[in-house]
Amino acid sequence: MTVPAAPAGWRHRVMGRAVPLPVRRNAFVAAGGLIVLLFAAAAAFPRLFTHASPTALYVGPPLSPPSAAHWFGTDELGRDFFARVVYGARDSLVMSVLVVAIGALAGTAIGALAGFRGGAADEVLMRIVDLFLALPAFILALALSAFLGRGMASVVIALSIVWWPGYARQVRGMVLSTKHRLHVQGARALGASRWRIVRRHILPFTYGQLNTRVTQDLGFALVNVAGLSFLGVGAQPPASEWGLLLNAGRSYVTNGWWLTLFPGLAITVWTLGAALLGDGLAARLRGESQGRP
Amino acid sequence: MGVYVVRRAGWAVLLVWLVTVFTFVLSHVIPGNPAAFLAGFGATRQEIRALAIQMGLTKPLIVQYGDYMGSLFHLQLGTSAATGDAVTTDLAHYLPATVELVVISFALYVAIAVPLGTWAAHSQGRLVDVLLRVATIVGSGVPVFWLGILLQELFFARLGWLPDSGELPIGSAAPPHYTGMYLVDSAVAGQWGTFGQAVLHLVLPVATIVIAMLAVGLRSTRASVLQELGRPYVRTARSKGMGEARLLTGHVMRNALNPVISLLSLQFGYLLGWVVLVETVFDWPGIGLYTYNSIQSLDYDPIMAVTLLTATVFIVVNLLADLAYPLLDPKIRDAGS
Repeated sequence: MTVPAAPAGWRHRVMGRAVPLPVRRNAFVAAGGLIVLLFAAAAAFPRLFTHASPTALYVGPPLSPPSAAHWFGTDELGRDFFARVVYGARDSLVMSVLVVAIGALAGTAIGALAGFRGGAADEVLMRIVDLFLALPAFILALALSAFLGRGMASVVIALSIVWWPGYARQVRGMVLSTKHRLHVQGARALGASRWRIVRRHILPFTYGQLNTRVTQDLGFALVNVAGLSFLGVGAQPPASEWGLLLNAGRSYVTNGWWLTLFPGLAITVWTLGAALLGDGLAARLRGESQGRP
Repeated sequence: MGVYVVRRAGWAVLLVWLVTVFTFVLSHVIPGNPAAFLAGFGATRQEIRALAIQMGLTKPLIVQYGDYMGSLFHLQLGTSAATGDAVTTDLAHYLPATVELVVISFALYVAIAVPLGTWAAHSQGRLVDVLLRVATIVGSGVPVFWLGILLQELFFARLGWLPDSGELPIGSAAPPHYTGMYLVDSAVAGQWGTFGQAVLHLVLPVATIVIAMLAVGLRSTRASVLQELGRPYVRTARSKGMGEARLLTGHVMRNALNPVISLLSLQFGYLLGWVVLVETVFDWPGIGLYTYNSIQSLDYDPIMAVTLLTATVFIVVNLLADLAYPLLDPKIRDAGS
């Protein structure tokens, strides 16, 4: 299949799709994208950012404030705190990305099924969604992960279980509003299989909104992941997941402000970056909504 | 109207029942063998087996479920391994502090967010718009537990204005027990010194919760009021010479309130989750801290009980919000009957 030439002013491509120029120039979106890229790089290649080890003890005097040698200071065991925060990115981000990915995929599949099939399947699935949305998600995730045993895997499983219903409801709504359109009827008349109709003729209409939601969710997921680790059910020492760092650091509120400042900043900046990027995608979507899907 | 109430209440009861199924599945099905947990390291297979029989874990699941529901109806929620007390006793002990924190925070939040949001809508301006937008993004990105730590850092460690944690200064006597809520108890007993201390200790945790929720509440109240302000009835009322204050409180607010209430009930759910985090940060001796301590010692009965309690409270609050809509909005009332 040939890719049609992008119309003038649509030369730039993000995730394989044309992006109008003004959006690319939008400083907020660029900042958001930069933050996300930078953090992803820290998660993938921490050595690019620091040569210090996150676990080596007494590389500096314990509890020393930020300095040229140790940008984020050192913790109570004299570990380089910058290295700990940088290396913490991997645990924090991998957990959040997994939660959002599992939640979005499962939610999309279930929402598409419910919306497309309708009838009893729709009724049952949507009541299950209602059930989840009517309960306090964080508490459920906390209980689930406590019972699955401490560790990062149980946090991912627990949060994914409370994460998918939002996607399911949204996708179902979008599928319902699409499935009676002419092009779907046309595809059906041509004998396309159900699977093909859903995948090629209905779901692409949801991608734009889902991209926005997924991007913003990356931030919210991290806040939840860090919260569960803060409470002790997620990452375990000596990992330096950010929620875990915050819990360890709060014993030093009077004499080690840097131990809580930097991990908290890391969480906030990542969430901010994701929100800005998501906002930008949403703006692009609005600009595009007059045109093609 | 009657049908609406019955349907909503029925859904709430069904939800509570489903939560008990959830807690049952968690506590009896998922972790493989709770008896092995309880028996501890190095227990022989016979010991675990004996404990499992004693705990009723060898019975068929359906029988276990019957036993479980029976004990729930008798309010037997198990025993806390850490405190050695019945979980119900512990909950009664810890609950008042949480109720105090949650009620005061939420009341203060509503009292600030709704009027301020209305004002922000009325004085439409780009600056307000931008400020709210930034505050919302930052507010949703700052984790509530970090916000609490930052406030401790500033107002306790730097400025020394406020205590960092607890309900009262260490070593000071608690007021006589009437409700368990120190503000109420000290006021009833006339111990105004203790009352003042209790207020001081409440400031930071309450501020943490209010600040964390504020931006979202402001923004949605404002959006809701703005939408109403554009309607023809507002122009009619103004052209008849109605004062802005009366217009806002008597006409606009009543119409704008429903979406705000549904947001508030949703946020109450977040708040119930945050309580665990905030109480942990501030060593606030409520059920959140109890949950945190139970997690540290893998004490499962209390975690289950708190989950059940929190979910039930949330379901009841949602039910109340659902029942408030028709009271506030005659259109829904007529449609429902």
